[in-house]
Amino acid sequence: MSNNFQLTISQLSLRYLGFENLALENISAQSRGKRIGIIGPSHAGKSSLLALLAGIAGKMIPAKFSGSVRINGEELEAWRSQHEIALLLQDPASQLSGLADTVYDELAFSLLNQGKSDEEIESAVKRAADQLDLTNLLDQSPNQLSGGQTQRVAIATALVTEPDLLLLDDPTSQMDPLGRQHFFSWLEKLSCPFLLISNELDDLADLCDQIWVLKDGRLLMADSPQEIFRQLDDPAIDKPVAWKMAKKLKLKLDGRYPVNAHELKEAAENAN
Amino acid sequence: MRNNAEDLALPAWQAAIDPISKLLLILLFTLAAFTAGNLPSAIIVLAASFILALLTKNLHALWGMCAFSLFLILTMLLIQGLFWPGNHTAAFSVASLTFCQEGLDHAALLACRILTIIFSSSFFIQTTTISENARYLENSGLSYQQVYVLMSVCYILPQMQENLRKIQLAQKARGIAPAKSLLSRIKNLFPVLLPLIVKSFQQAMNRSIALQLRGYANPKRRAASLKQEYWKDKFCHRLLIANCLVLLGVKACLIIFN
Repeated sequence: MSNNFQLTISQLSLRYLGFENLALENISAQSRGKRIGIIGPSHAGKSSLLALLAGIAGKMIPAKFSGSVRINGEELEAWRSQHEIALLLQDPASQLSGLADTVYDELAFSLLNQGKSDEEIESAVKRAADQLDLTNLLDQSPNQLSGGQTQRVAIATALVTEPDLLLLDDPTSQMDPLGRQHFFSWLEKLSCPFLLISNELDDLADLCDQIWVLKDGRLLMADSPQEIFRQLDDPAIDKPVAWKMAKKLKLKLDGRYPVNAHELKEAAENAN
Repeated sequence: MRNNAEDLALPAWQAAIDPISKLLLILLFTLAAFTAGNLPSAIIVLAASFILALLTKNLHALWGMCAFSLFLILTMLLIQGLFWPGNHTAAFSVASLTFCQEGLDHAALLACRILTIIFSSSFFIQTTTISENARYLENSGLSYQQVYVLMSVCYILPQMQENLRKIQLAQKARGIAPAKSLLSRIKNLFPVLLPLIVKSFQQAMNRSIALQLRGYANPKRRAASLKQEYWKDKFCHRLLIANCLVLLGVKACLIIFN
């Protein structure tokens, strides 16, 4: 599964009940690679797209949609019935059950829902905690955690079930720079396919195989980070710091401005 | 009920009583308080519940809970002392107002009942966490959905308080001077009520979505194992229920034969 991920969206439109405007309008895209970054200004439809993929929009939130979504050739609904999709919400505190005394219990909650045994739960929780540097926090109360720690716990709750597809809605919004750095290095090692909404353009450009740019519910572009930031010319959407620095320093790599730190370094070395 | 297990180091006997027995204990004290038809017997029940509450050794929390009801009790004393229909013996006068003994006795009886419920609830609240309770109820046969609905009541209020605190801090940061008098505090509360309710509603909705995504309604779900052994829980339930039934019987007899 992890090595073979193909998401195909055809003419997808979504409207929430009671709203006139479409949240998503006629989106067609095909994934390339298994790490997809999603960027765009506010109210672009980024969270709605993830909500639809996770089965929230239309089921838990009243909405109507048209078009089709296929994963590895299967209709989304059929794929979802056979596979695990985990979604990390924008507000990490809401991700938590609120009925757990400790971080351990919070992580165990998702596994109890799957009917796993105590032994399976223990090993899965320890593995997820280890991946997200939460081992020292396992005995702590979720109510005592900082914003960044809560966000890591929320990520761990999504990860602990070893999902087949991970949907992350701005997961680093409350993390400090170091926590963010750790998160993206962890994400780099993750074998599971993911769609990630983030404003950390440098990290996205470094990590993702493909970036989708959304604005006003429409998909403006879907391409590699290099192509996206070469072609993108929209004042509402920022560019990576590496791209901006390279532009100021007039450093180019293969005829275009670098989009991440590695490329910037390479361009600087070539220039010398 | 406590939100979590931090600093909840209970004496062994308190930890050994299961959550349902503690809830039944509240019911038993409540029934006892309502069965006690006169002030001396109500005071005895109150004293027993007070001793139970004192055993938690958390006087600060106990005072917090009582303070909340003091306003209500004072109002009762005032209204019943002045206007209770059975008033005829003057007890004392303040300015031109004459308080009557019967009304004051009746108000004191009601106050005893309120305080008994508070003290017995305080024992439950101080010795049980939401998680322990949820775990026990689910193991007793309730579905997680039912448990969640019951328990969510316990954290919605603290969550609203926390949201209110954040909104008020934001207001202070934007230069709104903190209110000095109680009246201006209440007045300042009105503009934040709507955002507070909307935010709490939004959080509740997000949490419900997250729980569904995490599969809490999955038919495969199993209850979490209990973290501790409880002392003869089924026996305690039966004993407490039997006592409650006896009190109900006594109360019924008192009503019928009086």
